Amino acid sequence: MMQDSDKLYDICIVGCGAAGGVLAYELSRQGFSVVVFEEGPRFDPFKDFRNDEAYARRLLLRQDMVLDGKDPMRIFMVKAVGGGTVHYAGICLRLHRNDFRIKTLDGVGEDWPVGYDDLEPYYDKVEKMLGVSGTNTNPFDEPRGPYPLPPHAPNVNSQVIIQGAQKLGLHPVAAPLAILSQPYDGRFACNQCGFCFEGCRMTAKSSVDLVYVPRAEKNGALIRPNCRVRRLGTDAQGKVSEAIYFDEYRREQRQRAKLFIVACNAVNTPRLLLNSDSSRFPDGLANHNGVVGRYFMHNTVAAVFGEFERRLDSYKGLPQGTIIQDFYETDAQRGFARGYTMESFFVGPLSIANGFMGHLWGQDLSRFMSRYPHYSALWLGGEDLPDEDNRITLDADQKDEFGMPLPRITYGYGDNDLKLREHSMQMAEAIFEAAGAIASHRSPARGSAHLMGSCRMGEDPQRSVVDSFGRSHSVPNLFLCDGSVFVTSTAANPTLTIQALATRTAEYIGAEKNSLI
Amino acid sequence: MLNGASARLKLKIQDTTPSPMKKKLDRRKFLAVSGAGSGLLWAGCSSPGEEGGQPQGAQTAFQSFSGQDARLLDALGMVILAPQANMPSLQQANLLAYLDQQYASEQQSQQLGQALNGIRQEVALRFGDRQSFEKLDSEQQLGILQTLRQGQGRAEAWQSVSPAQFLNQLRAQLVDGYYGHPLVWKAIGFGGRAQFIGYPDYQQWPETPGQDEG
Repeated sequence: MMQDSDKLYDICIVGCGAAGGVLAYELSRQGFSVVVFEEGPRFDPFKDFRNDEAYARRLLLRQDMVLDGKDPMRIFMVKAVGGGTVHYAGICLRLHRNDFRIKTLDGVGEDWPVGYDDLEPYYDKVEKMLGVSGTNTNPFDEPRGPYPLPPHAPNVNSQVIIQGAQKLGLHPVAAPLAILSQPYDGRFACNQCGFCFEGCRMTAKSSVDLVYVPRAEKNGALIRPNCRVRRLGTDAQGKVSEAIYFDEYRREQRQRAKLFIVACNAVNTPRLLLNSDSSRFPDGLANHNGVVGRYFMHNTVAAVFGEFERRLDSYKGLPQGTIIQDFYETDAQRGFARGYTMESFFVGPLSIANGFMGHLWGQDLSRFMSRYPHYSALWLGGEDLPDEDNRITLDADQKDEFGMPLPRITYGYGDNDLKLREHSMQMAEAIFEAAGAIASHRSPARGSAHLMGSCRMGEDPQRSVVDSFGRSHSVPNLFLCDGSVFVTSTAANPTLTIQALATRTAEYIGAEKNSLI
Repeated sequence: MLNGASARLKLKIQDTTPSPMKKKLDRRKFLAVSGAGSGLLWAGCSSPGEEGGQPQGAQTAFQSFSGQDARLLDALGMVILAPQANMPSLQQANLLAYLDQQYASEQQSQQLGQALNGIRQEVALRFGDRQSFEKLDSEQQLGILQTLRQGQGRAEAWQSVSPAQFLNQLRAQLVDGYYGHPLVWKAIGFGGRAQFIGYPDYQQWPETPGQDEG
C-alpha cells in the first residue's frame, strides 16, 4: 500500500500559519494537490483554549532561540495550525501607498518590488474572508470601500485614548479587526471577554485555522500537524525535491512534491533554508548572495501606561480597539524618517507584571500592580529600518529537541529607530496627560511577534532572496511566503499584508502552473 | 496531623549536615528516599497577613523542595513580590504550592536546589556561615539579589546555574502564581476570566472612582 509520503504532491507547504493556511486554501481551490506540514498541534478552541494567561503562554508561546545583539528582543511565535493568528490581536492594517517606496521618498531602507495597487485586490479578498470589522473613516488610509462588518464599540480604555487624542487634534479611529462584531460565516460574534491573545474560545477571532484551513481540507488539502521539517533536499538540477521531516511519532520521513513553499515566519524560514545546505548550496538554500537571514525587523516596539485617579477597568473588552496614525508618515521636522501607529491595548495582570513591566521588582512591582484597573495603555509600533546586521543565523552550539540548530537572533536598534521610538512614547504620554492622567509609566517592551525581513523580496537577485511573488531567485521551484519577504517593516501590523501576499502568490502559481508544476 | 513516618521525615530533611549517603544521591533521589517524594514539611512562613491563609506554624508537604528550601523561597518571594499592605499574603495566595508544581520535574527540582544553595553560599560568603537569607534585613536581601541579577555572584554553585537567569525565572514563576490567584485579582481589581459571558459592560465607566479596591 502506498504511504502518503510516497505520493508526489503538486505543492508542499512548510508552515500552516498566517500565510501557509491561506496558500493551502487558495492553491487547493485551483485544483492543486497540496500537503501542509505544521510543526505544532491543531487546537480545538472550544476544548483547548482558556481565558488563562499562564496556561495560554505555555500552550502557545514555545520556541527555543538564542538572543543576541545590542538590543536582544524576546520573539513571540506560535507553533500551531493557524500559527501567530491564534495568538494575535487581529489588527488588520493595510500598508500605506508610501510604505512601498521609502527609499525613493525618504532616502532610507529599500523600495518594494510591488506597490499598493498590486496588493489592493488581495487586501479586499482577505478582509472579506476574515470578516474584518472596521470603519473606512481613517483619514490616513487609502480611499476604500466599507469593511465587511461594522466596527466594535470602544471600551473604556479606548474611550480614554480617544478623548486624549482628540484634545490634541489627532484622529483616533476604530481599529480594523479580524474579530467578528456580528455573527459571520457560521461563527459567533465577540463577547468582549478581552482574552484574544490567549486563543479565542468563542471562535470570534478569524484565525487561519478557523477560516482557511477547513476550506482547504474541503478542497482536498492534507494538513499534517505535529510534523517538523528539518531540511529541504535538492536534486541534480538544483530544484527542491523533498522535505525531510519528523512525523507525529518523531520518525524521520520524506515528502516529495513538484513545488515547495516555505512559510515558517521570518525566524524559522531562514533557519530552515540555512539548515538545508548542500554541496550545491554550501551557504544554505536560496542563499546565493548571503542575504538569507539578513535585514530582520520586528517594529520599534514600545508601550506606555497612563495612570488615572479613577478606575477604568481597561481589561474589559477588546484588548486593542483604537488606532492613531497621525505620525505614520515621515515629517522632517521630527528629526527621524518614517513613523508609527499608536494602538490602544490592555492585557491581564500576568502579561503586565511579567511582560510589559517585567523590569519592576519588589515594592515597585506591587505598587504598580495595585493600581491595575486605573491604567489605560497604548502600544506603539514603529517602523524599524532594515539593517543587514540584524539577522537570523544558526547557533553553532545549541540544538533543539530534533537536533536542529537553534536560531540565533541578532538585533540592535539604529539611531533613527531610537528617535522614532522616543517620539512615540512622548506622544503617548501627551495623549494620557490630555485625557487627565495623573502619571505615565513607560514599558521597556522588549518583545515582539511582528517578524519581518530576513528573506526579502526584490527585483535585483544580488540584493534580495525572492521576487515579488515570493519565488526564489536561485531555486526555481521554491517559494517563500511569510513576513520574511517584507522589504521594510512599515508601521502597520504585518499579518493582513502577509495574507494578501499569500493570496497573490497562490494566484501567480495558478497562472504559471504550466511552467511551474 | 502528622503520623510517625512524616515526623521522622521532617527530622531527616531538617538535618542539613552533609553526609556520605546524601552526597551519592542526586537531589530527586534524595527527596524520594527521604520522603517517598511527598513528605517534605514546611512550618510557617515570614509573610504578613496570616488571616484567611495558612495559620502560623501549619505544616505543608511539598514534592519539589525541602522545608528549608520552602522558607528560603518564601523569603525570596517577599523580596521579589513585596505585596502591598492591602494585598493578600503569599500564603493566602498559596504561592509555595504553586511553585511546588512548577518545579516538579527532576531537572527543575535539581536546578532549583542548586540555585537555592547558591543563595545560601552567597549569604555565607558575605555575612558569615551562621547567617541566613531569611534573617537578613530587607536592604541586605535586596543587595544580594541585585548583585546576583547582575551576574556577579561569588558562590561556587553559580558555576552550574546562572544566578540572573534563575532569578528571572523565579520572578516569572512568582508573578504567575501570585498575580494569577483570584484573591489577588480581587485585591487589585481584576474581574477575572469571564470566558463564557464576556464583559457586556465593557463600554461603561466604573461608577464610583476607586470603588471595590479589595
